[in-house]
Amino acid sequence: MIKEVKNYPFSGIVGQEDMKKALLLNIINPSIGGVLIRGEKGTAKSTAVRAIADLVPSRQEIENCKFFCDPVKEDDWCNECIERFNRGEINVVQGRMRVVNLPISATEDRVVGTLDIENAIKTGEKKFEEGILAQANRNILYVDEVNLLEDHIVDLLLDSAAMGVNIIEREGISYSHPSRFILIGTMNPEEGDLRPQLVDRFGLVVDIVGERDVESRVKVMERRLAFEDNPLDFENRFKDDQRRLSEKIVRAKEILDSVTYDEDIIELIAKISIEIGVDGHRADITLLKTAITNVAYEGRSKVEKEDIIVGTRLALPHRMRRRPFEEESLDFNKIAEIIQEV
Amino acid sequence: MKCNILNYYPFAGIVGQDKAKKALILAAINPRIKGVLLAGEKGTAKSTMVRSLAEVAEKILVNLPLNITEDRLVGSISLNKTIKSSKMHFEEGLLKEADQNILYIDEVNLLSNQIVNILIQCISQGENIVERDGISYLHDLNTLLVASMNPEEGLVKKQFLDKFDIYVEVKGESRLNYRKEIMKRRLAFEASPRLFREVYREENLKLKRRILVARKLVNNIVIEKESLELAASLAKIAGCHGHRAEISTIEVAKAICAYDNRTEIRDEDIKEAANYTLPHRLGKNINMEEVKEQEAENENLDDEREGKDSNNISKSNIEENTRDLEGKGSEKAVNEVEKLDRIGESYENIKIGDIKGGRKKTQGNGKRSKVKTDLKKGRYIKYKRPNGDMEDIAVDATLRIAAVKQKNRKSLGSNIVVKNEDIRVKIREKRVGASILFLVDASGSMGSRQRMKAVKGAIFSLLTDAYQKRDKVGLVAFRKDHAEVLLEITRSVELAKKNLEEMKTGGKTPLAHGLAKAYDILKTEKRKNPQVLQYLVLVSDGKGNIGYKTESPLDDALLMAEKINYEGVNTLVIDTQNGYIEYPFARQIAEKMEGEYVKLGNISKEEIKEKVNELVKY
Repeated sequence: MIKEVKNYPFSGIVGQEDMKKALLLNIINPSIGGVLIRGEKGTAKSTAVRAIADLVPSRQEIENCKFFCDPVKEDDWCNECIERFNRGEINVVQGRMRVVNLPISATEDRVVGTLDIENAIKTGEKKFEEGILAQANRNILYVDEVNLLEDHIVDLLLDSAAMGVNIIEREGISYSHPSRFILIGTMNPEEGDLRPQLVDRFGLVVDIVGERDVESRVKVMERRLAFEDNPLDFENRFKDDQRRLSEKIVRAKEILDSVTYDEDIIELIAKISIEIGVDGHRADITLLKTAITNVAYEGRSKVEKEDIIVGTRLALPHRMRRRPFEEESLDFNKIAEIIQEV
Repeated sequence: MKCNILNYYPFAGIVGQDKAKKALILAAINPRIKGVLLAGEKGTAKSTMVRSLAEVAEKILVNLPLNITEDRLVGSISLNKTIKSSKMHFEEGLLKEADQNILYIDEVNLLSNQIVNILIQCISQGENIVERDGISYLHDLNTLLVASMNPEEGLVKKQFLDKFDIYVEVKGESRLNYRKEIMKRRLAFEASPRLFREVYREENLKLKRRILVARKLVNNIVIEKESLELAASLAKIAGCHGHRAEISTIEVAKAICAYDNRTEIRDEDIKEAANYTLPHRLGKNINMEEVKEQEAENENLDDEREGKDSNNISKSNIEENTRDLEGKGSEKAVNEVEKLDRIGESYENIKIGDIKGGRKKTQGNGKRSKVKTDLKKGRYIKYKRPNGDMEDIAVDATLRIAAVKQKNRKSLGSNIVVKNEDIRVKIREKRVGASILFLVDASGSMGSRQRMKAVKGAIFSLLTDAYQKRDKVGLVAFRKDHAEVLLEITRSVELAKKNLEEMKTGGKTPLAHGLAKAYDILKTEKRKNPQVLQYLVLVSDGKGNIGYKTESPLDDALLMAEKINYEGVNTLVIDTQNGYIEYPFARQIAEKMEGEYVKLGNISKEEIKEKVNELVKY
């Protein structure tokens, strides 16, 4: 279900710099692999996700395509678009990235799609009825309270997230369609942890707490009240900031492919991963991508050590090899040491 | 949009992972090798390797999605054709597609039991026999089964494990240069898959040809008796059950030989093969190191007996032998081997209800974590006739059953007439975790602080392990004159850290209060989640000396114990008394609860964890 409602402006969110950065970087470069936001209640998690959708630049889509296929990427087209192409019926329209919600009560059939019952009864024909994974293609899939999601639904998200495709073999249906989405999940760790396998699939993880100092807390309250009082006025207040941020995102996307990095950057990342002890290689790859994207976001052209630091903060903490009785915490001093050495 | 092979990462471009890559190649060479299981931490190219393999092996990769239903797996009635022609038409399932190709299961340890059983049967028989929905059908099944999994997330059923001829443990790369290379290549590939593939096209082609040549050679290999003896001997030393171990060793050895462009099997081939085929079949308390040593010794003895002038068997050359055994360039073999001991151990038969005096409520088919549920949550695995209630209808099954009967039914405007007798309902499978409530004596008796500390440590350890089983842990402590819930039953390590920071001790021992509190918590939880499996672990010396309802503390405690038992909670009493005189109280409570009892004088967190694990039979 997609609703149209006035969203709190992204630039109006107080503090939470890491979370905002993680979201922005993913919008600029979806291949980073999404964000998991962990934090106590009432810390603007959901607000931020909904808000980011308003900043996203418009993009091209194939008209009438249920999966919003990209006219430029033929390799990723769904079957119907391939057919459309063969019939010479490809029309391009402008669209925008949407936030698709996956509620925790979602059942499997609504997530992956299933047999179109109505159609089956009327025509006796097997037809596929798309689920949320279809709607999510080229969009943001937002799962609030992701740790409360049923295990096997989580398995399904994993499958699709990994391959960028949703393959359905159930209830008499055999079908597959593109399902490449930015996965954003939020959770409150006090309510239970998430399976390590799923956590690893998230490109970035951010742990947030409420603002601590009184000044910030007052600011948060003031703004929230003002927004609820008069959303339109509030929106105007941040109109310029929003516009600047939007432009920054557009520019970043443009220069993303031309960002460069030296051999010693790669070496540094590899060293950090080995020293810190991460599971697998996603950490390295994501760290590198995050650093690159950060460079683009800031309008620069080459990866520096500071970008690596941003990367380690966002891409590493949830990939540490878990040792019993030990806290899953990143030793930033150690990382600083390693960086100094190089 | 069947996974576009043009976008696959080229096999030749994969960095490191030599053992896994070789395993896959060997399996592609010899069709008699029935299955390859890649086990290891996340992000180690497991899935990538398999997808890339399809290209060099010139086979189609058939993915088995986790949510597959039986009908799509084995095949079923084609709804369309059947209705149109009023005759039964069979539509082939995934298994037919997989015949002569590769069947790939990612995260195989998460596959539903139902599907696993079907796979076991079909692979054993080498054919898929379909008897369902009024259809009778059969086809061959010669497929290369490849599966990947992360052992952290749960293990695979023993019978299923045995179906895999080859087992390879996959780890992250710790060599700096390799690690750098992995990053570079991944980014280059993502930037342009086509260009990247072009770079490795030559190498990939060479590999493809080599595999083809080897495939032909494999059929010409002659097996001498000595080879069979060596294989059998290795399997015996390794303590493998059944004979699949040695048979797979021979088949893998053949592939090794063929890949090396030979037709005469050598002893090294057999030994190298054993590295692939034995690790997941080791008997209890045996590890690969021992196997190799023992075998080297045996060879020595044989040679001495025969007075053979062998060029590589002598006491001083045992080390060399061992290196040979490990295969070329597989330095990680030793580490892999040690870790594999754990796998051997975990496969003890897990039987619930084996608890002393256990007539406890148990659920499921012997595997604690999976329960067929009647609620609408959980994976749809099968269907059945409804028992009065028509809830949770399995539409596909219903329609299929109705489809066949259309001929004799008058159409009422729609193309298919469904009657009550056709209706089938879904059977769902859900993972059910355990709820473990600790009830700890925090009174001033001896060793109280140490007790609390040990329990806290055990709780953290259990929670850390809890992911794969979705278990929850809670803690109630009793002292002075009441019981306090220190930790609500939770899965969260964070919460445990927060709440168990400081735990006070001292005062009298209100045991009955503690039991009463525990009873309340467990009862409430059961109301919310009727399917949950509940465990109570009481850590105390049983000397409750504050009365609850009556003046007699012990009687009160026994009364509560009885109530807890009645609720079907599985219990364990850890008796911590340490004095010269042995008091029977804790034991009496254990008896009343019809649960386990163990006496640990000075308890440690490891011991507690061990006992709890036994109780819950992880």
